[in-house]
Amino acid sequence: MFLVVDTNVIFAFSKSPKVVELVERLREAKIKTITPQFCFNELVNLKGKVMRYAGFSEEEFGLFLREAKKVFFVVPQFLYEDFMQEAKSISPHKKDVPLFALSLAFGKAPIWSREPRLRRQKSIKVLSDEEVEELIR
Amino acid sequence: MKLELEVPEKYATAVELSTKEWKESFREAFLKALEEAIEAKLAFKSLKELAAKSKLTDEQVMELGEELKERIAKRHGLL
Repeated sequence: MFLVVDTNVIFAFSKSPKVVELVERLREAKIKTITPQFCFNELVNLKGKVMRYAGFSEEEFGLFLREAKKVFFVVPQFLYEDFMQEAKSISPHKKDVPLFALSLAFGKAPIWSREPRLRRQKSIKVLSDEEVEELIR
Repeated sequence: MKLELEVPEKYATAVELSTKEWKESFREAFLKALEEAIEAKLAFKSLKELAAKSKLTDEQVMELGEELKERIAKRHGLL
C-alpha cells in the first residue's frame, strides 16, 4: 500500500517523536510513504528558516535531511505527470496538484495531511494522524 | 546461526546456477536486506532524538509545510 505524505507531515515528522514512530510502524506494516519530486531539493532551500524555528544546528539539519530521505520515497515526476491534468480538476489549490497527481498515479492512494483544505474534495481520501494510526492498528 | 535455503527446483533449473552460486546469491540478498533494516532502525533512532529536541510549533509546521508545497508546485510549473 502507498500513502502520499503532505509537506506539513514532513515538518511534523521533524518535530514529534510520536510522528516518527508512526512512520516507523507504517514501514514495518509495508506501507510506503511517498512524496513528489523536488520535496527534499526544496527543503534544502528552507534550511535557514527550519534551523531558526526548530533550533537545529547546521549539523542537525543535515542529519534530519539525510535520514528523512531514507524514510520517505521521492517519486520522480515522470511517474505521475500523466495525472497532472486530472489532479488539477480535483485539487482544492494549485499548490496541492502534485500531491493529488501522485495519489492518482498510485491508484488513488490516500494522502496524509494536517491541512483541512485538502478535504474540500471527495475523490481522494485525506487522512489525519489519527486516521493513519488506524491503518496499522 | 545457521540458515538453510531450499531453492524450488523449477527456479534452479530455469536459472541453471550451481549450488555455490545460489548460496552466494542468497548471502548477498540476505546481507542487503539486513543492511537496509539496520540502516532504517538507525535512521529512526536519530530522527526520534532529533524530533525530541525540536522547538517547532504546530503553527510553524503548517507555515513551513505551505512554503515547501508552494516551492514544489513552482518546480512543476503550476504557480
